[in-house]
Amino acid sequence: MARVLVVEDEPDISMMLRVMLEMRGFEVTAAGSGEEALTSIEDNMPSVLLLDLRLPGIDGWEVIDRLRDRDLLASLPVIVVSAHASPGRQEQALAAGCYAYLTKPFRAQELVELLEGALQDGKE
Amino acid sequence: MDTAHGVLQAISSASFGALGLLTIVLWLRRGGRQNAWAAAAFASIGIIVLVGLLLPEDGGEGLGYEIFVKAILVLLFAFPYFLYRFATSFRPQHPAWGFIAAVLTIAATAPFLFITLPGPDEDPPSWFRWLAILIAVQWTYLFVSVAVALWRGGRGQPTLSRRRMRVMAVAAAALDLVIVIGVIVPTERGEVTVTQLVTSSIGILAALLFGLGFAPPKLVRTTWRLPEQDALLHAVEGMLLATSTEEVTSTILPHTAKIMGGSGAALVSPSGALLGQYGTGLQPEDLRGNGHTPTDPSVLRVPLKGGALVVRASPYSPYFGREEVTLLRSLGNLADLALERSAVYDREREFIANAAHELRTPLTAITGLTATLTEYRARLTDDQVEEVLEGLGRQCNRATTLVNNLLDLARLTHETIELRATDLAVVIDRVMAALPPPEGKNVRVNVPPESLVHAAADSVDQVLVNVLRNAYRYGGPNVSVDAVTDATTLRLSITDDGPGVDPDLAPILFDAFTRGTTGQGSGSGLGLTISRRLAEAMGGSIRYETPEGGGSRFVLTFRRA
Repeated sequence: MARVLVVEDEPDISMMLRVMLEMRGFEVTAAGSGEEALTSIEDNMPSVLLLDLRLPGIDGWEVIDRLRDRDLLASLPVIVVSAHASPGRQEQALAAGCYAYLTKPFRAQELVELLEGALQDGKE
Repeated sequence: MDTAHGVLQAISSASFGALGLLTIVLWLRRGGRQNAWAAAAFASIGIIVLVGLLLPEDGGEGLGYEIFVKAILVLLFAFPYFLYRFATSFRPQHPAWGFIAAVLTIAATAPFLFITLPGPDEDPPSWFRWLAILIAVQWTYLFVSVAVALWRGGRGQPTLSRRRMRVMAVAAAALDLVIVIGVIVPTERGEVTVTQLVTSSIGILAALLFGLGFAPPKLVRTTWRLPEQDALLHAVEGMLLATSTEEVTSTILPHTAKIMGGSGAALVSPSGALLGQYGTGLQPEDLRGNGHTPTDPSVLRVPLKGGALVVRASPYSPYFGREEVTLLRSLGNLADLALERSAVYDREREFIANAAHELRTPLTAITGLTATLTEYRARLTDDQVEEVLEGLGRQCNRATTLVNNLLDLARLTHETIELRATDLAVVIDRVMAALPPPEGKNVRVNVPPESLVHAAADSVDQVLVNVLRNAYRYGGPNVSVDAVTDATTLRLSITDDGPGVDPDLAPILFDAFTRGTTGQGSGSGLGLTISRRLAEAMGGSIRYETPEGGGSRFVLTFRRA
């Protein structure tokens, strides 16, 4: 079963993602901050990372930088889920090596397609 | 022919006399090196003309008369040299050119100081012709230098400056022509020739052209400035339409450089931050913040409320483009208005972007939870359904609060609050009843009864709820509400013993959507912004301060009733 790490500081969005993905057969782990996310990745590497950018403490960009420094971005697809809709941020995230950028609010189907695409690409 | 010559000589004398007066007035009014050289040149020629009119036709006698005539001759040779210094004072010249000019002037002047001049009825000696040729060489070298310097200097200048410089270049060439013709074409004493009429006419023309160059009439200035009017209109139009700092700078800077004939222009903020730059030539020291005065006269700086407009103008601009400098100030004032308006647009854009961002969070949760509930209702456990419904309720409330707060802010921008004598003690009692301290929090109220202030009870209520809610959410266990009065004001402080506000956040605490990185981010981010607007609308204020010993304190000020 594919394991998704949801990094989100808004409890209700984190809960929504957890329920939504569990219903679709994913195993979900949640982290409320950048530090928690990095610890969780070190303890148990997920299949995909759903990452909010605005986080308390270490923010999403810093998490991406640290994963890149550890050469983890190639093996761990990162899907950024952010309320920032500017094209500049999207380009910045993709240039940094993220798999995709999803703007809030999104349709469940969009997220699932991206997750499946990321997992499929990971297998190939 | 004699009459015509007499008339031409009178006009010539009047023209050069007027030119002498004009340049002296300009020097006295405006000062400066260029005006001093111009005044020296044309005062010399003016004195020569004036003396020429006063001297008896048959000349004078004695040593005094000879010294007087020699002094006049010195002025005659000094005239082109002074004009040369005027024309070459704008840009640094190779020292060799200046040296040649000085040597030629001394060489032409010196012999006259030592020889005995022939009387009016005497034939000049044969070597006198060589002196005349030397004078022609001196005048030609100096006037050609003047003409070349002014003509070439006009390149790339705004039309008005360029034409002023070029009519003066033509005038200098014309004066040289007069002296060359005078030397080449011999004249018989006592007879007026056509050549003399021609040279007199050319001299008058030269005087008029110099006058036009030094002080063109308003009609001429307006006509010559027409090409720059287009640039000005484009700049004004662009600034009227500009809605961002980038648009203001990209509009004003190229046009400003063009109007000033400069190579570069920039807008800097009061602190010296570069808002925009165009072209080249401005050095980092030219782009400092408020209070900086450039030492280079070619760098023009117009102080603005929103910083400064800095232009690398040509070295000729301060002299030939004086009105353009005034124009630059007007443009600067327009830029100030445009920058102020752009800042409003920028703030609005930022506000809308922030509001949209804030709305996305509850909307994401609401749409996602609703979709999950709809699609998987049958498979969800009762606990999961409850969790989802609670989340939906919270996020609907959050979206509602945000929308209500946005509406409150919009209302406050164009609605006034009706003030009446309001007892703060009563309002605080009501707020405490509606918003009792949560578990673990303790509130001590120290407000005397009948604390009457000019306020609207509902607005005070809203402000207190916002501040108290923050104290409950982010503050420590103990909260105190205290009132202090003086003759005219009542200060109400709400203090808690929590960790206090992050010092980086304190200056922007009342700005919309300011949030710290700690605590629950479930507020709208507008509560304190609305509180400030309400406090100000009631003629009071609200501020944040850190009490001695830590914690946080919000101080509300009211006018006593």
